[in-house]
Amino acid sequence: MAPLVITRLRPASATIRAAALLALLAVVLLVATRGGSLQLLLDNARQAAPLGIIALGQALILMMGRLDLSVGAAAGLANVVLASAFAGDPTNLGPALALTLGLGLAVGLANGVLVVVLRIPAFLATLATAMVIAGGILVYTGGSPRGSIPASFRVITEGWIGDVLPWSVMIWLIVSLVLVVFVHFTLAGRQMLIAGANARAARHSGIAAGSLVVASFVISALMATLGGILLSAITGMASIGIADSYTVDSIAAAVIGGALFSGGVFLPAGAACGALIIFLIQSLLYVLSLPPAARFIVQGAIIVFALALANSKKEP
Amino acid sequence: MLEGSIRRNLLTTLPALVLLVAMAAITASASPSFLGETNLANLSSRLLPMALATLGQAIVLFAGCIDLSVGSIISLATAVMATLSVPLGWTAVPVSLGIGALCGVVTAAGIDRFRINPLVMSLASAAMIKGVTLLILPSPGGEVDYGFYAVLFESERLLAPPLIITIAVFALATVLFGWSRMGRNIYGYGSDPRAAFARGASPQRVVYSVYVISGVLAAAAGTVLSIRILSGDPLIGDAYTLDTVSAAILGGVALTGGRGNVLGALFAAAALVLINNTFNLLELDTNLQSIAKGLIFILALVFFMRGKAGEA
Amino acid sequence: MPDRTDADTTPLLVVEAMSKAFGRNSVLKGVSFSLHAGEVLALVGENGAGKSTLMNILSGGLGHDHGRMSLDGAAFAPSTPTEAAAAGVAIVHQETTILPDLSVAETIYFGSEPRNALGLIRQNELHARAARLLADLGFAISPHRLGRDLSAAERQMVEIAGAVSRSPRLLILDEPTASLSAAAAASVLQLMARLKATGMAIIFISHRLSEVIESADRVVVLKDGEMTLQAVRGAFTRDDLVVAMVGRTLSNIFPERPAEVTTQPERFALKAAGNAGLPPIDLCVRRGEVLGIAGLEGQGQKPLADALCGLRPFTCGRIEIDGQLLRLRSPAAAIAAGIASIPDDRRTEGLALTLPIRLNLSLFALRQGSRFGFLSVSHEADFAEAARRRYDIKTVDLEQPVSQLSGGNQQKVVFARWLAGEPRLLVLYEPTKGVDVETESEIYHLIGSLTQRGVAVLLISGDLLELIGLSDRIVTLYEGRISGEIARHAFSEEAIMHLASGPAPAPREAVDA
Repeated sequence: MAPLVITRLRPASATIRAAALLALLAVVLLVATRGGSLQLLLDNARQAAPLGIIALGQALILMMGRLDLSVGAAAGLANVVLASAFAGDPTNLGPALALTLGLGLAVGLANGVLVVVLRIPAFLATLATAMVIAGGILVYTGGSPRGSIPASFRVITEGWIGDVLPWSVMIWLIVSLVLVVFVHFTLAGRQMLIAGANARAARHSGIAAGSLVVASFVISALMATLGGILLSAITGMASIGIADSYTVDSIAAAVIGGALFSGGVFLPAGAACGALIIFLIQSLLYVLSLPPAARFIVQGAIIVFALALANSKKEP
Repeated sequence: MLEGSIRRNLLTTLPALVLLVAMAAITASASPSFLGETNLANLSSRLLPMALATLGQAIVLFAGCIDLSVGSIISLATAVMATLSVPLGWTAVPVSLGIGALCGVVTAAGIDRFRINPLVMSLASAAMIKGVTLLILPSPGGEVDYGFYAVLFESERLLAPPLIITIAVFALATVLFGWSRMGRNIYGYGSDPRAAFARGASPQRVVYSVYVISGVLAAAAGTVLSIRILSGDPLIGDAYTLDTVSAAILGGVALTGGRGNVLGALFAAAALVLINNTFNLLELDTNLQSIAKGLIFILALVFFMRGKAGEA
Repeated sequence: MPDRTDADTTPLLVVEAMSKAFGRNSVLKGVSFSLHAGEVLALVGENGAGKSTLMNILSGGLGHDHGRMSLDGAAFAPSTPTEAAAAGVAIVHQETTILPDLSVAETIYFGSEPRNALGLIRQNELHARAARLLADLGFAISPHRLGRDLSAAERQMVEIAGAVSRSPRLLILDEPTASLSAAAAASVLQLMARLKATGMAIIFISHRLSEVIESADRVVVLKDGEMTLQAVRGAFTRDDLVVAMVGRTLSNIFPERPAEVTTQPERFALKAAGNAGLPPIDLCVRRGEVLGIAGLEGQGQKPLADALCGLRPFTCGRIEIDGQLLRLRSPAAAIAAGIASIPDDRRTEGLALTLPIRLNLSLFALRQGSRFGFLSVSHEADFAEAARRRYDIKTVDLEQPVSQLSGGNQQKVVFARWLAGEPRLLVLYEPTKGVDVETESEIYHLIGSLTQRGVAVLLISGDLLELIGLSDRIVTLYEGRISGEIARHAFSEEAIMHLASGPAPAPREAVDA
């Protein structure tokens, strides 16, 4: 039993490629910063956790052969709502988290219904949701969001476990593990994987593909919300548009990690490497004092490069 | 003249035309000044950039592709104008349009060479173009020579450059996409790429031409926009991406390709401009407008896509 | 001056030692034949014999590895369909290339529209020209109709019209009659005779041996990429064709059918069951019986198969399995009731091609091994390994994507998945499409052994040899209704075609529809 489980988890070649690229980048960053240390890399990982978690959700959506363009907006929504519900008071923990996650759930359900029941192509449905959320945030805050995150809560991203492992990385690992077990070792996850690879074949085989698509959007929105919560803990306050770039970044991270737009592939370790790569590149751009605009160019170029590489390996 | 697919494609524009007329009638009855020449001239100058960008998006959709880089190209064009219009004068306009064409070439190359999904490739292009824009113009500003404004927008007459350009561009597009072999190839490819290829249409030529046309039209929209606001803005185009897809679909253009007429794009773009105008007249919070537009978009999708395209 | 005979007029087309391989899979092995102007050549062979590959090489859709072709004495090696068209070769593919959003006229003249001085398309002229062409050919189709509104038969006719409009020297027709009723098929054969009289050379592919015997001047039979027979009119019999196609006599390919099935109890019955896409239908199948369902293309086979597997459920009538009322609302309900259905297109409806073979195999078996929603990894592995051995799936690694398997092995994976639990009813829809001859026979014997254990089989197929060889009884579908039934002793291609062409008295032209 145990060896079988291990062979099931052997990394895909795409994951190994992403890990190799990540190692290379880490070395470059260490050299570029000279005094850099392992601590610096771990700190990068700490800050990459929100993106990493959002990218996991995006990877799941890509597995279903869809795209979620609302993850940035959903993370931003979580940020604004969490800060205003907390209002700096640690005793508001319960209601603040419940409200934030509840709204995340609602966003995911809305996406799922638009895509499955109303049959709107996923990227357009989620683009529209993103627009509605962005408008909603502006209406609610009037452009200047209020509230803050109490210091005791910020421990989830600022704290370290024994000075070695940041709490945020721990959360990221746990979430990844849960998703891996779900997709590869549960019946529902397996059905989702098959529905993602070929929805028609799945339906023909009695799999309720529609409900699984809704479920994937709910999971993605919850991941985006969790990412937004971690992001809030990092910044300690609410800001508008702070998570917008996560939409494209999460796609880039998943794609670097071997996700395919045709669906049927779920490589969480690859997505994690992808998220770290994107974060390290941003750090590197910062270290090399390149303008922040360069990150967008890198973002786009990475997607093109990763997909061109993946497509060139496929049979024509 | 109107035999075959042309007749059917004209029919797809009817809902947008009805919507436009209804919007106009409602607005006119609510505010008598609506039909005044000044207001109509103002509306036509607002319509011009929206109509140009929507036309580009519609053409890409005819081929069964989509262009999510329209908004970024618009922003880039405003940044280019804001930096080059003073030193270069009118030469800045062809430069701006040429850069738009280049953006289209990049997107098409990714789709054609690397076989990247059009949606994702245009999204990646959008990110890269946004980066370039922010390098040129990190924040709203720069200066567009007032001379441009004087030529394009100073007249308060209805029959002024904005309306004339709109009519000319759409007349040309109507003819090209109804009665030219290029248009026929694009519709055919969008209708069924495999069958069109078997019948001799070149996928490369179709993909490059639609994205270059879309790039040029988006750049034209950005150029016009920068002239109207007399400056550049690296984020001004963002909202246009969804707006153009929304308008094209409202105008009867099928997301699945092969169906629709450029006039539908015009009618729907005009209807959206009218809706925005009404929001402004009602003094609605601009943020509520963004929610409303998202909802209109969803409604348009639900209405026009009902029963079509189960997968995707 | 010597007599002008076949021997000394130059053939229009000469194909010499043509070979083609995809990777290590050799699909054409040294095929040679020639064809004169004004001749009809029939190309015959089972699915996967290499016919389509040969046609694609001739029409510029594929390159070849070895061999030579010449057209009218000049070397001929088209690298694109356009080049082949320019040389005077037109092909009508089995998969039609109708453009759904363009009109019939626009599709026929796509890329060669009449234009005015400004380079703009003359729509009036275009449609008038198409109307004349269609009238000349005897096809009653309006040139203004959109591609998406055409029936399968009409699409075929538009394809033929498009090919003929270019006045080719060589016209290739890939199964032109497969979707046509007997009357419409006869009119296409007449059209071929007329075109031949104008000096056009025609190659046509057909599965209907009677057509081949009736209209071919020359026949070429392919089997597994090799030419097993070339003969001229009168020098071959139906049996020659069958032996050349299949390589052995039919009795070896198909399992023995026991005689007593007609006395078995009824297993599955439809009583006036139908839905929006399918008029109410009555049929029943006994334990251990194979009921063949024949019909021309698009006569309700797809809606019937979809209804039986629960994808598009029946909305009226009564469904019984082993005498009990069955509610067949969804694929899950069908599976629970013991109905296994093998879809006709395994690539789009059967397999998740990018996923490993193991995952594709174990889909149903998983439910048995799982606990609290968690999979049992070892149960799955055991099942997959057992299935590989039992069905002789040829692969070294079950973790490979299923797309790496050959068509035949892919089909075995589909069968292995569906047969994980012993079904009561097995619905087969074109079960051997794109499957090699060896696997085909394995599948037939597998079906035979299932019926011995009491499984009832509904075999929906367009392959008449398969229907005749495997069924105990055949019913024919026409416009979604059962148009006739034939008992095993009365099976013949002619009898099936006759019933499949609809009510006999006034055979309707398909083009009238």
